[in-house]
Amino acid sequence: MPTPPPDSFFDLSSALTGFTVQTLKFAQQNADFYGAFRSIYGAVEFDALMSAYADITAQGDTGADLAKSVLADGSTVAETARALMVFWYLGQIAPGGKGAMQIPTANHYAQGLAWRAVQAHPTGVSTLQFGYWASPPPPLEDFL
Amino acid sequence: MVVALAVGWFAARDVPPPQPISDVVYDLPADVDPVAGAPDLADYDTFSWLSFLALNAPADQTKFSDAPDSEPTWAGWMEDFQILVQDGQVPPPWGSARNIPPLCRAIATEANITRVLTHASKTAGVVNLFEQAQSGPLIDQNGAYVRYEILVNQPMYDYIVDNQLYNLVGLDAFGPIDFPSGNPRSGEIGAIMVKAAWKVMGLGDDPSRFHVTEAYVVDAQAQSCAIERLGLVGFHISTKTVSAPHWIWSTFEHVDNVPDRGTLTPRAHYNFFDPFCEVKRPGQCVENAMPALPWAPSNPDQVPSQVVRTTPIGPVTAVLNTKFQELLREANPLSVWANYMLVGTQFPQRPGDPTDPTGRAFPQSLANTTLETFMQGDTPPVSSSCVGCHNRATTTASAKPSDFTYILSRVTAKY
Repeated sequence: MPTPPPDSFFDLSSALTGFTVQTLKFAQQNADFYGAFRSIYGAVEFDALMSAYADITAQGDTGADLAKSVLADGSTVAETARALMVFWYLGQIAPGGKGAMQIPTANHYAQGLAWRAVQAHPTGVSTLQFGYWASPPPPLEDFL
Repeated sequence: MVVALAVGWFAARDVPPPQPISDVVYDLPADVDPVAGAPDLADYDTFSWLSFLALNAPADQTKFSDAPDSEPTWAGWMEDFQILVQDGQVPPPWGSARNIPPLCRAIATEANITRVLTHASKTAGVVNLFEQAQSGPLIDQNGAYVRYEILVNQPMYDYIVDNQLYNLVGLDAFGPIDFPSGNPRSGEIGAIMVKAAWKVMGLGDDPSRFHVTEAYVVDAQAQSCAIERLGLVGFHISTKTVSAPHWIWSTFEHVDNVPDRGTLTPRAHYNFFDPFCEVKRPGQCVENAMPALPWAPSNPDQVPSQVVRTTPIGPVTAVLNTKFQELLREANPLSVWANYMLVGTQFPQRPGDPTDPTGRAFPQSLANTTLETFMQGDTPPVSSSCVGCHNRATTTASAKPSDFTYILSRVTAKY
């Protein structure tokens, strides 16, 4: 059984993506974003990002400030953080951040946050009921 | 793998020990009863087992300890075909016996046989004569088709009949369909559907390990009917409750059905897997492959399905299975009901989520190897998800959501 992601992974991901921890945990249930990112992008880079996140939060930064710190010019983990954001949004990742992007599983594609950000769903994968297209989608806040 | 991870989170607290069942009253639970806080997987799995015990408790008010097997309570419920009447007809009163089809009347000399099985699948459209939901038939190791039946409890039946939802005029005139929900405060039981999968007891089968029944088995293609002795191999329970307006989806199987993929357990006989298949039928042993066309129970030389479970039962569920099976054996060492296991429970984690009418169901996918044999897996949207599929059910008239039942999708009576 894979190791459950630490809470800090969801906290950092929430700060980077703007989505709630609960939404990210639901996505993680169906597609292993944590394990796939660590194994495909690289454990060294990922652990460095988590370590930097721990240092920043120890200084008292939270939310948007934290995200800015991680992504700031000169940050050694900015590239990894951006790759993690892309992975959460699109379900795509490149090994070591280089080469062709890949989608680990169909579930990573379907759980990508981009669909929720545009208040929609992946092609063919909708949990909405018949006729939903005749009504406006719920407000964006509900998708976060 | 991902499901197992999520289950790991749910395993954070101990599974509550089930109550002794040798002398309790077998009441249906109205809703999930969380030990603390929001209900979790263990709470829902416990709900599933308590529902299984209540529904399979002897219909004659005896106890599990009194006999290894007996007619269960749900056997007296009404079948979907009794709801799906012809133009101008009204469904029979609750408790009415099932009509013996004309095909079977010539052999209808067995006064005690009331069960009639015509489904060799889960649908016409979604439950028809020879195929499971959106796929094909399941053929056992003796070449016999698995048969299915779908029944509803009285609150669901009354709702359909009282609101005239058995014909197109009634469906069109009625507003949003909202079956009654089980309410833990009042104890009121809500709508419940069950689906049962049966195999013909044949060579290599030990009937003492199954809940068995005798039934008229209709082959509509061959226009024939036969009296068969059948064993229960799969059992769905769908329950609507206050906490789960998206229903709670519980599914059970006989323990002898199939091995987990890649983990063959030495066993003399599986119901739907042959360890020596490749020796006996070279090239015909593709796992979980649908049978070749044409599909007809009367075809000679049917090739048995070679079925494996692709998603192992999770650890929380497995612990509960052991506990409830032990309790059943304590009640009666020969109890056939101890040979059934909960495969899983699909439940809403966030009821009322406006972005997801399935309530963020967990697990995402759930399959019974006798009812969704060919749709196992975790690939959206093709893999089996109870609530994911039933969420798409609409009425024949107006195409409005039918509150998670496909029975109202099969209504054809115009008035």
